[in-house]
Amino acid sequence: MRSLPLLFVACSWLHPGVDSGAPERPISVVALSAPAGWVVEQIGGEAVEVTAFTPPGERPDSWRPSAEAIAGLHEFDLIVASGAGFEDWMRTAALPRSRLVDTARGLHVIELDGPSHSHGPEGAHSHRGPAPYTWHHPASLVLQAEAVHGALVSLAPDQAKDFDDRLAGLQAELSALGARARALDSSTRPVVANHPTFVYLFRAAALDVPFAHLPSTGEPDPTQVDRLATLLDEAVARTGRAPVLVWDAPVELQGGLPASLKKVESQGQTYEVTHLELDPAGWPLPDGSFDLLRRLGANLDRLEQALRD
Amino acid sequence: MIAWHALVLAARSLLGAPGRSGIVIVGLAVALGLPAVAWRAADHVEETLLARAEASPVLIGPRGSPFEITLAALFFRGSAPAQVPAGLVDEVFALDLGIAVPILVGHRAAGHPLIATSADYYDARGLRFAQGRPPAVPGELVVGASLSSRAGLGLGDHLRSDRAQLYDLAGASPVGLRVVGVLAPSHGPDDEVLLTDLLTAWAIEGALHAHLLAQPQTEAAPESTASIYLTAEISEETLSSFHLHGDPASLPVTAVLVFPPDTRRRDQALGEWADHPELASVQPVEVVSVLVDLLVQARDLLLAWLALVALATGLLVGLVLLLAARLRREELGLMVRLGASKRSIVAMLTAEVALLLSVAGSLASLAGLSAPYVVGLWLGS
Repeated sequence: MRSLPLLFVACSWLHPGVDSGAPERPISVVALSAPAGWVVEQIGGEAVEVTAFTPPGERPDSWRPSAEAIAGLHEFDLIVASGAGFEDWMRTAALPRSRLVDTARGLHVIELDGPSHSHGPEGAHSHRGPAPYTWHHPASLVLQAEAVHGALVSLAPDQAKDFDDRLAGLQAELSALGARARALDSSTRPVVANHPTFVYLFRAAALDVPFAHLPSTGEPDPTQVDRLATLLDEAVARTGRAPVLVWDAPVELQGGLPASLKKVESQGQTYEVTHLELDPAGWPLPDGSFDLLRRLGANLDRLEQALRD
Repeated sequence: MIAWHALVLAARSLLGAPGRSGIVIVGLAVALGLPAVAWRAADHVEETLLARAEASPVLIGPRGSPFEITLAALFFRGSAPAQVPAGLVDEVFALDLGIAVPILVGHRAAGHPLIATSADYYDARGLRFAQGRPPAVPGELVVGASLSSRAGLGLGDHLRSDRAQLYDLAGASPVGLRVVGVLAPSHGPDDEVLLTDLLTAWAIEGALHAHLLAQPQTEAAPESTASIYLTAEISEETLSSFHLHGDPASLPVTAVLVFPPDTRRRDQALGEWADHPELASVQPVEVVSVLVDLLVQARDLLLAWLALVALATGLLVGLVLLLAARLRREELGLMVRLGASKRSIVAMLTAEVALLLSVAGSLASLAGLSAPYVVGLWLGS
């Protein structure tokens, strides 16, 4: 287990045992992704020792651990995942369900169309899958925190009061964030996104946002760029306002942005496209820090600003 | 002193006629040993069955076939159709009824039974690893202790799953499997099987697959054709391409074992599916108790029969000894003429019978004591 990639050890806490005086071991938790680890830290405080499973610099939605590393997860008291397919490798991993807290289980996850294919006589079919970035909806994040809270209470019922207090504090902060999202004025400007990464944020803000399904990384092909331009045209035609184009990663287009993504001509008028990059907040910053609340708040700041301008 | 002399004379007399003595000893040993072996063997089977059943508090399976499902899910014997949705495991966890473990029987690899379950099975059963680790990804399996010794299977060995139907050419190709763990002896059915994850079983069934173009007639995928896009080999390179067709919760398993943490939740687990039209939860110990009762009845009948056989054998041995005494009339008369008392002669003959019974009884006891071991080997733990 020690050979597992360790990103951070959040808390290491010993306190005297009640009867024997022997030190009581903190609950060992392995977080399969940074958002899950952040939630565990918020609820568990010093009663948990959190180990990050995803190595530094890797994205949980594209990284795949070795079989030996997966088998090593058996040694932890709890295995906490963001779920909803974010830790994609979990689809084909044999994990002990009794220790696994899939925080997205029980959420009303948003289903997205996946790639389609055909084999055999049954014809073509599409693999739909859940949208994984659930923490962008404050209410979803509250439910995920409650799932972690329940698991920690069942492991350490004597510390339930501490966990309750921390959960209540987090709920209050997320509730405030949810109120800010709901207060966004969706009537000011239409929003289009390159990818459904922020579908939960848009749902929390009651924004009707079409997606172009451009790849989050790498160069999109011309037809995908055309699809995005078409969505911008339709948004302008529908609302008569300058659109906001949300990106989930820095734009990587050879030769820069094409004209179709800079300005939209509609009914004799030219509308300037505002390009807005939001933070997926799915992995730590390069310095290793991860403050999910701050990063969600910063996304709301940027979205508020873009819709106001 | 008379007793000692009688014992020495009896021993010499028996050794002087080894053929006769041997036949009598074997006859007596068989007559006494058969009931002892039957008793101990039946006891051992009863204890083994009940111990396994008691270690499996609740079993959920299709309604109406508790014996079939119990034998299949607990003892990996017989065949039972997979009719329980795998999603039942999540349902049990959601109801907080305890640890739920799916069991899927019916697959084989290299001719050995391949049992598909989940990663919780090993802890729930208290199984320990002599070597290696539990399966972590599809294509990995662990070997039971006895099977490992018998078949010479160890870490790193490769097997292929058996094709369920020999002539099912349209079915998925056999899946390559790798041994990643060897279980320590548990003296139960787990010693005799291969254990893997449900994902591997679903890969064997074709529900979990990758859309990689398999080259026709290659060594790696000898059953493939150019039009089949299923790869037979699961490797670290291809694993990320594997996906399940359909909702995994609806894929069938043979049964779901539930390990509740207390009696309240055990009772709840037993009552939860009481009105379900297709599923039923049972206490395996009750099901096995019925089987054990049948076994006890059969054992008692057998013992009664063997008691009669022992009685008949005893009478025959008595007759043999009586005839032998008649044949030795001259010898015994000579002893009397030499001054031996009638009491000494009776003592010698009694000592002969006692010696014969002692040796035969010892052999019968040895057979009885070794019966559980022999039965264990015969039945496979």
